[in-house]
Amino acid sequence: MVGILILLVVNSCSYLPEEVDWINGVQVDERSNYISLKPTTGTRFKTGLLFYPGGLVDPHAYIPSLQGLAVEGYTIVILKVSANLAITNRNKAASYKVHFPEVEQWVLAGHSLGGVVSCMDIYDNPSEYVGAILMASYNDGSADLSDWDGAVLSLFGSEDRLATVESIRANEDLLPRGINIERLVDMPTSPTGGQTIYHQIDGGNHAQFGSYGAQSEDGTASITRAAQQTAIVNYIRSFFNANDWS
Amino acid sequence: MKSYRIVIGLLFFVLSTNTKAQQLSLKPLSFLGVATNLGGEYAYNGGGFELAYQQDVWKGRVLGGLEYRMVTWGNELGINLGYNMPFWTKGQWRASVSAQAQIGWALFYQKSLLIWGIECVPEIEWHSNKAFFATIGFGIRYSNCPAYENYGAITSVIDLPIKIGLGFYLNNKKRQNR
Repeated sequence: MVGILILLVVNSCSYLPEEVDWINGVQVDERSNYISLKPTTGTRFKTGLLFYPGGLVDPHAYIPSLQGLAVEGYTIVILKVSANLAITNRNKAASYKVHFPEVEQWVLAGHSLGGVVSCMDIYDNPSEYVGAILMASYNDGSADLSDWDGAVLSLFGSEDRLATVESIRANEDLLPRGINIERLVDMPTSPTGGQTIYHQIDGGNHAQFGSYGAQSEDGTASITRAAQQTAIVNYIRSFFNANDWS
Repeated sequence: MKSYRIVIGLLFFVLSTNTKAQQLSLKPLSFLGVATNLGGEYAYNGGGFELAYQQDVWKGRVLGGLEYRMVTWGNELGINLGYNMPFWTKGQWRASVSAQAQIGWALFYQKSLLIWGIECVPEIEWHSNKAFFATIGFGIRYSNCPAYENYGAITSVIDLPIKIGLGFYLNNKKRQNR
């Protein structure tokens, strides 16, 4: 029994978030089940983003990566999950949509394990979401989305040693057909439903999709965290624009 | 290694020669959150389990043990200390109320954060004719992680814990003071 307890303790430590450099224009509302980010002024778009954190990462660690989208008008909802493991709260995202009646359509996103659970949720309820964003993540085979008509964006880092480029490529068959883009200007200008846009962030690693310090067994990034997170926001914005999601 | 054996031996000696009834119980836990420091809000705060040693003292039992649980700031490990007081016994049944205090750690890689809590849980036990008993309890608990204010807005929660478990007597002083 004590052995089980020690194993649990060793394997259930989460990564604390680093300090958030807040940008002006973000309204934060924290609840037991989620953290929502909305613009304080200006237009509020009718598209929202629900986000599952990576495994054993505190949800606050994703505020710096996503607040840039909130300022522009998108409602961002970072879900809190039991034990900081999204797999324990499969389909939680759908149940919190009703808390944001002003949002008419949702994109489901996740980092690492959160991305895997996003695919599972979409597989269970494909009509609940118009799109998906996988950050350093891939569909692991438990949910085949190859026939899904939603739009998918897959962002990954070249220096990621946890969700490696090889593992993402090996699981492409489980997502809608893929298009690789190297530069922001290569993003399609028309809706990408039924397609997966892949972009490798050169120099990026696994942990810099959030802000929680270095992650065990990850590669060393050759770009700064700020640069990687700027790229994330730029590609998501461009993906939203391509699909006319505002 | 030798000192480790001596400690284990002493522990067994104390347990086997103790004239008071002693029990060990394992209880899976479930926590229904009803409020936080931000206000009333229902949230399922996850599960956990408690391993508790109990010894008869005066009319009730002194409780001590370890607990692992999920909570809104992640996972935590706590050390519990408290007292269980019976208020009704009949045949194989025993009704009691436990008051416990907890101190421990919220589990994070960079640094663990101090947590503390208090709880009051009414419980019902059913004792078999052998050395086992089953228990169920439903109560209220306050938990606080003061240092988490540097990371998030929710630093304390009020839960309604549900405890369902099994226990057994460590010596043959069973039922002296159930």
